[in-house]
Amino acid sequence: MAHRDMRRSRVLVAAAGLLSGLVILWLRVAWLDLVLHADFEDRAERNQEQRELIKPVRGNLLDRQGRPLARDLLTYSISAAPKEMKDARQVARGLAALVRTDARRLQRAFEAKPRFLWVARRLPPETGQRIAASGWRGVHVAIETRREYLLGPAACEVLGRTDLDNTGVDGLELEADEELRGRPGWTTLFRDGRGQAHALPRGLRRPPVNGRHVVLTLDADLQAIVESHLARAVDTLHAVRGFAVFLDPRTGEVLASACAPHLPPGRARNWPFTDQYEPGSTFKVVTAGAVLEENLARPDQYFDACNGAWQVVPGAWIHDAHRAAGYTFRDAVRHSSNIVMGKLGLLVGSERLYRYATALGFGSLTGVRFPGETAGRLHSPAQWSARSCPTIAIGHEVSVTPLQLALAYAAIANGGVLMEPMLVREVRDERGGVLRRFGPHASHRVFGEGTTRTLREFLTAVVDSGTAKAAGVPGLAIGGKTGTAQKYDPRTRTYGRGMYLSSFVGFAPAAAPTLVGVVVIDEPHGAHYYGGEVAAPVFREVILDLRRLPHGPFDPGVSQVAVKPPAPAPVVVPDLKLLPPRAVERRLAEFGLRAHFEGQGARALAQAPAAGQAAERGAGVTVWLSPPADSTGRTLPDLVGLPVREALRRLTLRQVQARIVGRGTVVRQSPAPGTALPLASGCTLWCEAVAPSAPAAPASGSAAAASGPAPGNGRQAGEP
Amino acid sequence: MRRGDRWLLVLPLALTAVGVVMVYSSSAILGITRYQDPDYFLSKQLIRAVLGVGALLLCSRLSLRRLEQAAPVLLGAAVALLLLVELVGHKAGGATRQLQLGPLTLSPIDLGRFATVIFLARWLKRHPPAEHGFVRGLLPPLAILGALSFLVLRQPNLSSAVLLGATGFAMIYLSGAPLRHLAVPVGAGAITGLVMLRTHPYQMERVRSFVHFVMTGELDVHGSGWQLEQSLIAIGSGGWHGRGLGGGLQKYLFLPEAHTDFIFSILAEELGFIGATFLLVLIALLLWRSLRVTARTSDPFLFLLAGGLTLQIGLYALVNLAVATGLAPTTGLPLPFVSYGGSALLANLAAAGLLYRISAANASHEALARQRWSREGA
Repeated sequence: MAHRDMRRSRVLVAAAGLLSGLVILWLRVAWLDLVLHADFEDRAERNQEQRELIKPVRGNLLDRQGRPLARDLLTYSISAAPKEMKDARQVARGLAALVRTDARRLQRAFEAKPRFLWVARRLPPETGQRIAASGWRGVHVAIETRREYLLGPAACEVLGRTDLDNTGVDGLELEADEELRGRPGWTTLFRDGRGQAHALPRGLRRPPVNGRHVVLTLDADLQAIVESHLARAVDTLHAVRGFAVFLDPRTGEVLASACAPHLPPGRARNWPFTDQYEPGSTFKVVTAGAVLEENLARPDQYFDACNGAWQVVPGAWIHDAHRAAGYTFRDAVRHSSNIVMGKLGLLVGSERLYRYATALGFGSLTGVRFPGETAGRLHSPAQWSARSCPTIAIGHEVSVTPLQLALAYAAIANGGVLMEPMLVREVRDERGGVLRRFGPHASHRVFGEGTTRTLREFLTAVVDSGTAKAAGVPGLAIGGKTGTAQKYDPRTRTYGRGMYLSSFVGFAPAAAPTLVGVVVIDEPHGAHYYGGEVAAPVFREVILDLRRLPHGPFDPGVSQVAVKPPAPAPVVVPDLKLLPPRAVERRLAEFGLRAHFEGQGARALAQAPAAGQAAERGAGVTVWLSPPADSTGRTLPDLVGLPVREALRRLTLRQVQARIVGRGTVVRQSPAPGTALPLASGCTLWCEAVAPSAPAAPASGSAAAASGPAPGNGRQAGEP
Repeated sequence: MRRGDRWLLVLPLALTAVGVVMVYSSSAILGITRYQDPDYFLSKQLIRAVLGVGALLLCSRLSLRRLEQAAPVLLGAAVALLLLVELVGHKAGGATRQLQLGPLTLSPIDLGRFATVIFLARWLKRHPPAEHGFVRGLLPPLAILGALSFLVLRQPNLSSAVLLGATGFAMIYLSGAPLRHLAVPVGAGAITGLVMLRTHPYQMERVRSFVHFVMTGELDVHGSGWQLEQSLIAIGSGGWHGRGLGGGLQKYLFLPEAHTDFIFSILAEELGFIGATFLLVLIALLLWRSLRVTARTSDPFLFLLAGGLTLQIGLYALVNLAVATGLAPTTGLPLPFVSYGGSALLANLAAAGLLYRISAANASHEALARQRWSREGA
């Protein structure tokens, strides 16, 4: 028995040993798994995972007609690791055929068995995808994005550019960066023990949100036309530079903004917005407009021109280019008489001149959404000297930006309302659906209609028979004003001799302008330097080209796109959301507005202008209707007249519970068709047996009529 | 024949099933990288499991008396194979451990350790150390053990040699050898171990990095500590319930030998603390049932055989788990029933079959005893 006891005790010792070993191990696992878990989790992540950003696709910049101006181009870069290849020769042959290089050279390159080599970079997506799909071992495909500007260097100043990370750094790329850039997603790439990265489906944590597309007000055609003519003028005149801005006077939409020459990226500025210059005679419309608006002089009133030289104050002279004894007010504008306009400026007086100049937007930012805009320079009358009033009246002692000038002329062109400049028309989502639409905004009225009509007459005469004859286009009435300013030389602190800044501001067609343009040529060299000889021809060439262009701004069919400028005393657009079309019309009629429907449907989904915005009485409000109820499946369909079986099928498709009363054909349903899904409760169908010979449509109609509260048709549906 | 302890069939089969699943989970990636076939290891392991279950059933019906008689033959075959491996062995991981027999690779160690336990049980039954003194009682079995361990060591496979020695030594302890006698070989073993470390630099390196780890908690992640680091990351990132079966990430070529020696790490990563506990409970249950069988035997051969097999399985499991959790220097020992590897699985399932057979023998013996007692009583 002792033997047996000894055995048992020794087995117990062994059992105790094994058990305590297991317990220690269990505690150890608990320690690792539970106490140190977070730490190890971290280490595992560092070990295995690599968070990699997935760049979103940057949104496109589109022109007003939806043509891309800037877009992300996906390019594929192919690298090879011949060491990993099974059959390098065959891979080389296949690759060479796809990327169109010399197969033998590629084979030789592979034979050296380097760890890594580029086979081809920046391939078009089709080729890249085909290579990626081929699944060769040792061939790696990387996707790189490149921003592509489809107009080339043209418009680069206004569009701006992006940096290496595809973030906007200047121009519209910077201004609209918020919309364009999207939100990067990230994935956790998983690294295996050999350091090779794999994307795990589980690893993807956040998908990227691609950028939105921004539809600009720019017109690619006009932009190209303006740039080519501007560049030619700058070249032939040996000018330092030139810039031009064109806009739609009715809406304030900037149609083109051009600079010549194109400076290298980084130094390029969109001069029409960012540079100020002394406008010279083009500024005289401010004086002329003030005189007319305040009724200080009649257009045919005669003024003494002092034979070309007038001493404003002792020691300060104003000269005319052409000596004359005197001009009528109208002719003073036509021939750009400094003296008469200076005298008129005195007539207007400092305070009023300043008020009109500021009302036209000079001296302050226009509010255009563009980085680096300058306000120009317009001192307040308190800082003016004795000679300031007549000097400013002829466009000196002030600085303006071409954009300000264009907007001021736009106010004259559109009947007296200063518009806020627009660069962005729409923001669209990735698939092209409009997310936001920007309508024109009127700032305020500056001149009365009569004043602007007279001013337009004045300015048309300038082109017809005045200083800007070079801008004339046969068969089209054009209005405009030339300007020639001596440049202030900061080195000598005087107005430089022979340094001129020649400009022309024009609008066309004169009677109802759809286009206003400012052309500025900086320091033209040669015999000609007057704005009428230098800048006006550029404007004319642009107009000539535009007339040849189908669907240009002078094509009556297209000008409908821009609405008439809203009057400054507007009504507030009501909220139309979710109203049925008829209620929309009624509601808008209360406000004196007209409805313009887009699409078909039972409810208003969106509207432009938005609710709460100002609109002129009589203006149209565009209302987007929801798509037909059945197409999206988000609303309850009209089931009346359908056999129960079919009605059930349609409800099941939309995951609606059905309760059926009776049998046969549906005669009534609750809730009404068009009710938004999902429903809180199920849908009840009342059915009746209909004689098989009876056609379905009348049955539906009579049933609907009989059922009363349930309308038979989504379009007529009232509030459910 | 009476029915044995059915736990001894259920538990090994459960462990084998867990093993097959975990082998698949941990080897699919390796299979793809090496053989372009995620099922490469799984299909092999499945075939072996089927063979193993056959071996288990076979052993559960074996005549134990015949086994005792055949013990020297078995040992002879094992020794022959071990010698053969020296000559024509298949190299794997810097050591010659396997024999290539057509499509099968055979590790003679697994046959060797199995045969050693059987032979030693027979020897210790016939020459109980407690009755023959130190020289005649203890030295001969130690010499046999030493010789076999030396053969294994030659491969070189220090860990298997040590475990073989440890199992044998534990059997001598179970057979009732006096403790003061046993103290001598312990000292000798320690000296041999130190000599081995001196002569086999890669073993030394492992021990050194282990000692460093124990002292400082730091691992030489670029050298021999890499494997342990990856194993600890796997276990530690499991948390309570793990990443989910198949969701482990450490098997992506981070953890070398994930499907063999470090299969527990993948299990802990994917099934978490709960899964690891479950596995430990399975092992503990198996060991408990086996030791229960051991304690109930009446025949010294069966007692030593059952004890030896149990201890062998237990020691392998403990050392494997200790290695995976960083409590022992990194060595290449499989986790019984679970790890990938044909010979080991076969040997372990055969051992389980034998244990069941012994439990059945116990049952019939006890029934007989009860019968006799009741007859005597009557």
